[in-house]
Amino acid sequence: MEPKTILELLAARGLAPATDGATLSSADVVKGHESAWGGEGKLYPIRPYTLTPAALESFTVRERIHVSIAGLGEDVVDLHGLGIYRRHDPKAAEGRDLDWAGAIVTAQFLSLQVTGHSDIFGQVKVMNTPSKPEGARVKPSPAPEPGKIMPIKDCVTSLYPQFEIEQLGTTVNTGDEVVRLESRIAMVPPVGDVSRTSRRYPLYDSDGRQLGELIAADIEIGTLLHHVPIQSVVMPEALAAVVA
Amino acid sequence: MTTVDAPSSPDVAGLAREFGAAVFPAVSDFLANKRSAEQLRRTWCRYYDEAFQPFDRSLERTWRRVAGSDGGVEPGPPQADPALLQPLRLFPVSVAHNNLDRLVEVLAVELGDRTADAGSVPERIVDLAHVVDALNRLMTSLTTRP
Repeated sequence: MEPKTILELLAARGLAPATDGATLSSADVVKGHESAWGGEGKLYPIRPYTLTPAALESFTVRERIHVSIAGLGEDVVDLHGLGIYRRHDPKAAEGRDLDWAGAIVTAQFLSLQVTGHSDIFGQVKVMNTPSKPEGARVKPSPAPEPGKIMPIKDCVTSLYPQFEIEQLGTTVNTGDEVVRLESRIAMVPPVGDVSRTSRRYPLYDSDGRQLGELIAADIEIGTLLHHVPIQSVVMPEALAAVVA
Repeated sequence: MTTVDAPSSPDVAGLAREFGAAVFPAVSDFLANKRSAEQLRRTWCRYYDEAFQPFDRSLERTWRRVAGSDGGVEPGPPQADPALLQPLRLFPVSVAHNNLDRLVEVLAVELGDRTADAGSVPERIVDLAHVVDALNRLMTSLTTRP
């Protein structure tokens, strides 16, 4: 019988090398938080295509990382936790109006903490590095053709993640290299957004020895937990350079 | 206003037909190693630009009309409002398309002119299958729902 869905087709042909059938379980799939898929009776506590003033916001986060560590092996790890950011007032991009399509929105990450389990690595915890400039920038997407303005915006999140790996007995990070995750969004806060890396990053211990590699990272933004309007939000120069 | 030349109401049935005609077979070919990631990306971009973007602009215009929004800065915390249920009903179609756009992009960055079997991030191949099926189901459901 001919497969009727893409998933059936994938199951029929077999997965890519080094992938077992368990990966077909939806628990390991990154396709966007359930709130992104709507459903009867579900109302978003958000407004799409809308700018709002500066705010402190927290939300649930799910992160899936694909990591290899010398001496331990390679695994895909599912992690869950929370994120907090301080979002700045929106500004008009050069030559644009201060509206949804023409605005630039920046935010400073205050905290990102997610944790999960790997049969190979044991308990895994991923956190941000508050001492380094970390944040996100949302900017207008390029117009597909002159005069055709899009409601979609490009989002780049810049982080210096630290990976606490139980079986390794230490924490590894990407050193001075910032990890960039990109996505397309139509609302801020970006509930339902999935951002993904597009390259690998070496992982080092505190002495600068390379112990492994971050092969891929995918982040789902989930439920908005808290929203507090704030004033006098100044973006640090170092952060401005990172998200520029 | 930030919209231009969009149709009066979002045509999710038309978008679902285009998705079934263009994206479904392209993803099937990609998974069957008959089409490279870059070829998949080109097909996807054509669909995204020519079919999805007019739908998305129409959805934005509908939202602005119902919510009374001009796209400027609106004070106050975000709140759920039952009056906005109808335009928000179609919004997951937009979110899923934009998330899928990034997924197809990272596959093309990793694989280029190679096919699915050449990849070293197989979990994203599985993501692709799940997202395409879920988006197809979502649009079909929205098309048939009264």
